[in-house]
Amino acid sequence: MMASTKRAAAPQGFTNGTPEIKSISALAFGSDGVLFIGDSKSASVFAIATGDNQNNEKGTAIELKKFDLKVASALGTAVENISIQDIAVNPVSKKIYCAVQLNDGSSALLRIEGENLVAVNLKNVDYSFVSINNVPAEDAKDQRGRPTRVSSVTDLGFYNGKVLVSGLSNQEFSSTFRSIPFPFTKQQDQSSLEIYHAAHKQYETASPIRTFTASEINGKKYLIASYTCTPLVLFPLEDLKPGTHVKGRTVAEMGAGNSPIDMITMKKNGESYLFMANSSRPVFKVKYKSLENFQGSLTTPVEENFATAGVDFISLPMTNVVQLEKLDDTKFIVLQRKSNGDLDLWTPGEWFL
Amino acid sequence: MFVKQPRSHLLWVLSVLLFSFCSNPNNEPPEIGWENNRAVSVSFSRSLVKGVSDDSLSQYIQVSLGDFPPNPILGEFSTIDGKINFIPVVPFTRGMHYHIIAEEKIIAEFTVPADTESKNPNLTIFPSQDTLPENILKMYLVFTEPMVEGQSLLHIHLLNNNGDTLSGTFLDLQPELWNEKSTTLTLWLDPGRIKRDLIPNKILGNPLTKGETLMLHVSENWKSKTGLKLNRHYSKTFFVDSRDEQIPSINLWTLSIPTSTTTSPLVINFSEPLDFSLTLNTLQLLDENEKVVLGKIELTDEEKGIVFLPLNPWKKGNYKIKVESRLEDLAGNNLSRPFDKDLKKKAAVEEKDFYERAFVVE
Repeated sequence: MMASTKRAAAPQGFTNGTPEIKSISALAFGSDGVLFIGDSKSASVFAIATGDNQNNEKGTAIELKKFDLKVASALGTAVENISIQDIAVNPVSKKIYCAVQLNDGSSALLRIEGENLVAVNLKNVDYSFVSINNVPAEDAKDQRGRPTRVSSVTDLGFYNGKVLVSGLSNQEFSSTFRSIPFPFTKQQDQSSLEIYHAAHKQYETASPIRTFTASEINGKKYLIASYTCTPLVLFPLEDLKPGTHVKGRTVAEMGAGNSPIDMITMKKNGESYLFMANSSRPVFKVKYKSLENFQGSLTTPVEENFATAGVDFISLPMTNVVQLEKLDDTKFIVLQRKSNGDLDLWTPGEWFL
Repeated sequence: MFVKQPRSHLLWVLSVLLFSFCSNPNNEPPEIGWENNRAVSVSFSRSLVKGVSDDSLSQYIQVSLGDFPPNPILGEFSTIDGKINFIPVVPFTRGMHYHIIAEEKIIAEFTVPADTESKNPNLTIFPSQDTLPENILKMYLVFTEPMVEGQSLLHIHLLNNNGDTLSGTFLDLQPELWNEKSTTLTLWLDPGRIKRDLIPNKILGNPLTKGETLMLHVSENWKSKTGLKLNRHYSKTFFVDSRDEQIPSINLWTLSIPTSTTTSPLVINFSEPLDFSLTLNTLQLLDENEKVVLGKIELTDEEKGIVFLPLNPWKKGNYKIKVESRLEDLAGNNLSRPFDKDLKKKAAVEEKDFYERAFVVE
C-alpha cells in the first residue's frame, strides 16, 4: 500500500530523514525524480528524492472518473473533506503525482499507478529544503502575539537548473517571485524580485504572479507569467536579478472576472503552444509564434489600445479545468469538473493540439 | 488484498452484518490512537487474524469506510505487543465509521467520535470601522480556532441594501491566505477591479461604490478543523466612502509622549485607520543607541492608533519610531507608494525601506 522508495545516489546537499512538511501547496519535478514541494505553512520548498527515475518516453493516457471520490475513499474520508491542491507529472517516468489537502489540516501526496492510488513515502527519505520567508532576525524579539507574515506558494517550477517560486503575502499585495539555484545551498543566493505591472503607461502597481511557465521565445529564455488580475506577461529571465525592480510587458489581457490556474507548453509538428487553464474561462491556446511575433512590441511602451489587441488566442471547447499538466510532449492531463458534477482526471485527445 | 467476487450488494451487507454480530464477542473493541486531538491510528487484537504472518498482514487485512465494494484506506500495518496497529496516511475523520476487514469479512469496526472538547469558534472582522474607502483592498477574519481552509468564498457574502449578493468582489485564491495556525484569513477585494485602467476595472468597475451601505455576512456553517461550526453567524454593516489615494505619512501622526521613570504608554494617533496586520508588524521603537525598546503594541480606536506599553520604565532621552515602508492604509497605499502609482505625477515622498519619527522623553 505504501509505495517503496528505491534508493539512488542522493543529490548534493540532501540528508536522509523525515522532512517537516506542514502543507503541500504546489508540486514540480526537477530532473532524476526529484520532486519539489512548495509548503505555504512553513514557507519552504522541499526537494525530495522520490527514487522514481525509470525513464519512459511516453506517458500512458488515463481516464479516472470521479477522481475526487477515489482520493477521498483511499484517504478514508468523505469527498467534502478533501481538496486536490496540485498535480504534477514526473518528466522522467511520466508518472502522475497528486497533492491533497484535508479539512483537518493534514495533507497527503499520492501517485497514480494504473487505476490505483498509492501513498508516496515521505518518511526516511533523501531530501533538502530552502526557506522562502525573509523575516528579519530581530522580528520575533520585541513583541509577542503579532500576526505573522505568510508567504503562500502560488506556483512552483523548475527551469534551467533553478527552482522558480511565485508567492503571495498575506499582508501586502506584492509579488514575491524567487529564482533559487538547485541543489540548494546554505547561502541565501536566491533572487527575490519586485515585479511591477504597468497599465497603459499611466498607472503602475505591484502584482503577484498566480501561475507561470518558462520557455524560449526567439532563442531567448522568458518567464511567461499570468497575474492574479491581469493575465499574460513576459519577463526575459536574464533580467531577473536579485534586488531588481523588473517591469513585465503585458501581451494579453484575457478577460475580466477570471483567474489563471495553470500554464503548460505543448508541441505539435515542431510548433509550440501555450495552454492556459482558467477559473471562469475555457482553456486558452496561444501559439508561441504569436508570442514571437509580438517580440518587437514588447520592448516599446504599452499602447493605449494594447490591452484589447494583445496576442491572439483560441478558446478550446474545454471548460471548468481545475488542473492542467503536461504528460509528455504530445499529451496532457486535465482535472475537470464535468457537466454532471463529476471531477474526472483524464487525457484529452491529441486533436486538441 | 480484497478480491472482488460477483455477488449482490445486499447479500454482502447481510453476510457482513451476520458476521459482525457473531464474531469475536470476547475481543476488545479497536482502540483509536490520538495525537494533537486527531485520530492517527487504530489498533486491534492480533488474535482476530490467525494464520497470517506479520509480513503479509497488509495483504489480508484492510481498513475501509463502510463502502461497497470496500476500498482499502492507504496506510501501514505493524504488530506491537500482540496487537495490530494501522496508521492511515492521514488521520481518521471525526464522526466517521470504519470497518476492519479480513478476507471479505468485517472483523471489527469503530467510529471516530465527534470533537466534544474544542469550543465553537468566534470571529472578529477587521477593519473595525463602519466607514470604509471605495478602494479598500483587504479584510482580515480572525477566528479563535483553526478553521477549514479553501472554502472561504462559500461562507462569506457581501450584500447590498436590497439584500442582493454582490458577486466577484473577493479574489478567489487557492491556496487561501491563512496564517500558520489557520486562525487568520486575509481576504482581498479583487485588485484587478481596483486598479485604474485595467480591463476588469473598466468593465466591472470598482468592487464597491461610494455611497452604498453594504453588509459582509459570514455563515455559521463554516467549520473549525475539528468539525465545529462557528458559534453564530457574523455580519458587519459598513458605509462606502470616497476613494483613498493618499499615502499615509508618519509626520502627520500625533504622539502623547510619556514621562521618564514611568511605564506609561506611548500613544500614537494615525488620523486614519491603518492595516490591522501590518500595523502590528512594521513598527519598532528604538532608543538613542538604536536598541529596540521592548514592549507591547496594542491597536486602539478602530485601528486609527496604537498604544505602546513598555516593558521597562522610560529613560530620559531621544527615541524614535521606525516604521517599515510596507505599512499600508485600508486602500493598500503604503508609506512609499500609493497602491496605484500615477506615473505622470511626481512621487509625494522619496521611496525608502524605513521611515522614522523622533521624539524626546523628558
